[in-house]
Amino acid sequence: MIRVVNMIPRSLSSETNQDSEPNLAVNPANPLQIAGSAFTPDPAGGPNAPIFVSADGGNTWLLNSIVPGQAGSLTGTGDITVRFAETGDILYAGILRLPGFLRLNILRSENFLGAAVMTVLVDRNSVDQPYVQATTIAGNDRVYVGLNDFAAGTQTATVDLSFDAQTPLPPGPTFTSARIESRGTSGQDGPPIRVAIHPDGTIYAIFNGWRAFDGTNATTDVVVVRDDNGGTGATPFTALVDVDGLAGMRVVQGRTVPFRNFSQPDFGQERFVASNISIAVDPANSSTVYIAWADLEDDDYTLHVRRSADRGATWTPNDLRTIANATNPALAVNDHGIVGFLYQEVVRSGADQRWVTHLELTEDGFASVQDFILANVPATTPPPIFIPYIGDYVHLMAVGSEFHGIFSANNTPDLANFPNGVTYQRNADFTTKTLLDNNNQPVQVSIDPFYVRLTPPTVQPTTFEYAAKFICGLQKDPEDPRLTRGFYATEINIHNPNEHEVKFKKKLALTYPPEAQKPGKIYRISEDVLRPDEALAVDCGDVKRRLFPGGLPAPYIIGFIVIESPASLDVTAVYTVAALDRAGKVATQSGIDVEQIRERRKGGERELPDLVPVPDRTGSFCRRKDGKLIVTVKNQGTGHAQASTTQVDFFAHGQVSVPTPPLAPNASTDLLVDIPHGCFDPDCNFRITVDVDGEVAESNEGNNTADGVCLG
Amino acid sequence: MTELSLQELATQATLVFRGTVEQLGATTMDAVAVAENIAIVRVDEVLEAPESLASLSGTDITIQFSASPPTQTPVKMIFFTRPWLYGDSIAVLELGRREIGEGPAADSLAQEITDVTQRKPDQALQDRLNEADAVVAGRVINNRPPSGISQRVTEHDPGLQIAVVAVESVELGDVPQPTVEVLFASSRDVMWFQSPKLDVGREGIWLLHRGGPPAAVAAPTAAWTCLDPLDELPKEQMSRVRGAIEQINRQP
Repeated sequence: MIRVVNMIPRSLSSETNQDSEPNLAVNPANPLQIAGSAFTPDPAGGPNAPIFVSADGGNTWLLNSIVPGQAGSLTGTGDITVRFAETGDILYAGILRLPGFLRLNILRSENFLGAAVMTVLVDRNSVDQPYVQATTIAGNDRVYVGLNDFAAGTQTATVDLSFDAQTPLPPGPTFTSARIESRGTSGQDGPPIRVAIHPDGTIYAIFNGWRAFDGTNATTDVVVVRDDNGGTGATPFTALVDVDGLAGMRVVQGRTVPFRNFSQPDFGQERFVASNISIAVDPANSSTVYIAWADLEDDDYTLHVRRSADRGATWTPNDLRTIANATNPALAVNDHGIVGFLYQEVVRSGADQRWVTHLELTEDGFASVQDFILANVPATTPPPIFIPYIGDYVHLMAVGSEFHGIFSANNTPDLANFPNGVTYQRNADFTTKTLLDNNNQPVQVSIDPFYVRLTPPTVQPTTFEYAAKFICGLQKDPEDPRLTRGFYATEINIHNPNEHEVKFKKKLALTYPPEAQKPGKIYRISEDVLRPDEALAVDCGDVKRRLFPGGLPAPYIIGFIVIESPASLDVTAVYTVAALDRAGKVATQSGIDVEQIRERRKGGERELPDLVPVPDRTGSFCRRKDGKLIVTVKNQGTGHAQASTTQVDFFAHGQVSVPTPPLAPNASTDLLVDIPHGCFDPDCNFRITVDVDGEVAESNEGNNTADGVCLG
Repeated sequence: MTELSLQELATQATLVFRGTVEQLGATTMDAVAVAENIAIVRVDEVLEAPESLASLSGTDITIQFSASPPTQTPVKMIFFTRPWLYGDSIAVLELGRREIGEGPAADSLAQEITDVTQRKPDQALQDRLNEADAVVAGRVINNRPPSGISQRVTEHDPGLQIAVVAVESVELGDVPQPTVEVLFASSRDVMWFQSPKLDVGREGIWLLHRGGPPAAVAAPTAAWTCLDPLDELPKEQMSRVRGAIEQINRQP
C-alpha cells in the first residue's frame, strides 16, 4: 500500500514558500512519530525555524517552530537534516544555522511535539551540508553527522561522532571529528558525506573525493569507508583498505561531477552542486551495502547504483541501475532485503519539462523493479525564489518492512500529477486544480514537501531445496536385496553461481538403517558459506567424520543428503561403485554415474495482514475505562500491518477516528475512544471499523467491522 | 515569573488578538494534551499577526497559558502570544494577557499596542543602523569580481562581487567619494538570495559594514560589505532613514 501526503497544514493554506530540500526522521521505537524538515520559515516570522511533525504515522502533519534560527528568514535555516535515535524518542538535527555562514549546529529535542526550542549540542563554523544519522546502543544514543569540514585542511570529508548524545547539559555530550579522507585532494572533498548504520556496529560512509577541480567540474573518486566497531576505535573508518594501501575503497575513480551553482534551464531549474550520493546497508546482513551517486555521463546528469556483498571490499563491476537526467538518489533496505530507490527525474524539454519522482522497489538486485511514480509535475513553474529549486537531496528510510520517504515538488492540486494518489491537508480544489486559502481565495502554486509511505506486501522467503540420493559403504552379502554386492561411494558437489555469497544448510536423512518401512534418523551435517563461484563437496568420508566418528551404524548407509539454500545452487551427485572379489575386498571400479540434482522451490507466497476488532471473552465489544470505550485491534494475518485508522461510528452521535499503530502478525493494540456526550439514550450503540480508510492490503477485507452496544 | 510590561509583550509577541476563553482544560488539536493550563480561545479580533495568520478572526484556537489560567469562562482578554503548532487549527504560547476593560481605557490599550506594533520595523532599522559603519545613497555604476578572496567550494558560496557605487549622499560614517566599492553576495543560494543584489543600475540606500558578518565569508577586513537583507532600502525611505540616524546621534 502506498500513501502520498502533502505536508502543509490546513491553517497555512495561504503559504507560497519554496519548501525545498526535504529530510525525514521516523521514530523506530514508535513509527507513528515522524519529523520532517525543509527550507520552511516560521509562519509568524519568529526567531525559530519549524520542523514538520506527525503523531499518526504521516497521515496528518503539523508545523512546530523549535529549531534555533533567525527572525524574518524566508527559509528558516540553511541545510537541515533530522533523525531519531533507535530508542528513547529523542530527535537529533544537523543544521547550518542562521544568522551565520556555514555555521554548524547539532541539536537535540526530547519532545519534538513540545514547545521547547531544540538544545544546541555543537556550535562551530566552516562546515557544509551536515547529514545526521543516529542509533542507540546499550541505552546510549550514538549520533553520526557526515559533513564537509573546511577547518580540516584539504582532507575535508568528516564524520562528527558522539557516543553519549543523550547526556544532559551541563556538561552535555562529547562530539569528536573523524576525518575519513586519506588521499590527496584538489583542495577539499565534495559537499556530501553520508553515513549508514547497522545494528551490529558496522558503520559505512560514502563521499566524493575530489582529485581535481577546474571551477566547473570536479574529477572525483566515489569512496566508501567502513568501521566495524561503531566508530569507537582509535582510528575510526579505516577497516576498508584499497590497493594503494590507504583507507577507503574507491568504488569508481575519475568521474566527472559538475559544479554549476545556478538554476539550469534544461534541468528543471535545478542546480548542479555535486551533492548527490546515498548509501544503505541491509539490516539483515551488514556485509551487503548499496550506494548511489550522480555524475556526468555523455553530457547527462546520471544516477548510478552498485552493491557490495563483502563489506565494501568488492563492488558490482557495472551499475545495477542507471538513470539519466535525474538527481537526488536515496536508498534504503527493509528487513526483508527489499531495496527502495527514491529519485527525481527530468523528462521532456523546454517549457514542457516535468519533474518525475520515482520510488522503485527491487527484491533481486535491480534485475527487476517495481516503479511507483509518486509525482509527475511541471518543472518550469513556479519560477525559483532561490536555489536549490526542489533540493540538493531527498530522503528514504526503512523501518521494519515499511519505506518512508520525503520529496519536494510543484503543489498543483491535480490528481493526474499523482498517479498513486495524494492527500492534501491544505485547502485545495482538485476539480479546478486550484490551491485555496482559508477564505477560499486562489493561492499561487509553489513547491511543497510530500511524505510517502510504502508497505511492500510481505513475501515469505523462497527456499531452494535439493535432495540427493546418498549411498556409502560396503555391501558384502549377496543375499541382501536392498543393494547389490559392492563398494559404494557418493560425492555431492555444490557450486554457487550467484554474484553474492550464499549460506546454506546440509543434513542427512537416513532410509537405512533402520530396517525397511521405517524412517531413519535425520542428522544435521553443517552450515556452510560459498562466495560467488566457489564450490565444495560432501562425500562419504566427510559424513563419516562429522556424524559417525566411531564408524558407520551399519556396513553401509542409504539416505538423502538434503541441501537447503536461500538462493539457487548447482548441485551434482557422483556415484561410484566398485565390485568385490570373493573375499569381499574391493576389486575394480565397475560403475560411475553423474546426476544433476533437481531443484525444488518452497515459499515465495506473499504474506498479508488481517486486521480485526476483538471482543472480550463474552463476545461483547463494550469495554470501558474512565468513561472511554476500549477498542482492541488485532492483526491475525501472517504479514505486517502498517499504521492505519480505526473508526467508531456512534451513529447519530458522530464518529471518532483513532490512529492505529503498525501491528506485527498476531500483535494487538488497545485504543481508547471518547464516547460522545448523549450517546447513552438509553443505550449507546456503535460500529467499529478497523482500517477504515483502506490503507492496509489485507488477506480478508470482509472482517473489518463489528457492532456493539453499551447498556445504559 | 516576572510579568512583562505591555511594551515588552507587544514587542515579543508575533500574534496579538482580542479573544474569548471558551473552554478551560480543552484543546482544538489532538497533538496538544489536555491540561489545566490549556484552553480553547475564540479569536474575536486580530490586532497583530503575520500575513499567514491574518484571517484567524472568528476561529477557535488552543492556548497554553504562561501563568494561572482564568478561573471562569467565558472571559474576554487581549492575548500576547507566540504561535507554537500549526495544524488544522493552531496552538499558541501565551506570553501575557491583559484585561480588555471598557471605554477610554480599552481604546488607550489598543492604541498602545498599535503604536508598539508599528514601531517594530523602525526598531529593526534602528538596530541595524547601530551596527552599520556607514550609510550611503547612490547608484551602482559597475560590477566586477573581487581579487584576492579565496573561498571554499560550497553550494553556499556567496558569489562575492564588487559593486562600484556612485555616491549621491553620505548619511552616516566616513565614505570615500565620488565612488565607493562595496562587496555584495550575487548568489541566489538559499543562504544568500535575500542579501542585497547591487546590480548595475540599481539605486538605493545601503548600510555598509567593514569586513562585515558573517566572519567566515573571508572578506578583507578593510572592505565595505553589504550582505544582510536589512542593509538595503529604497530611496523613498530616505526620511525614515535620516530620522533613525538622528535618533542614533541623539543617543548619549
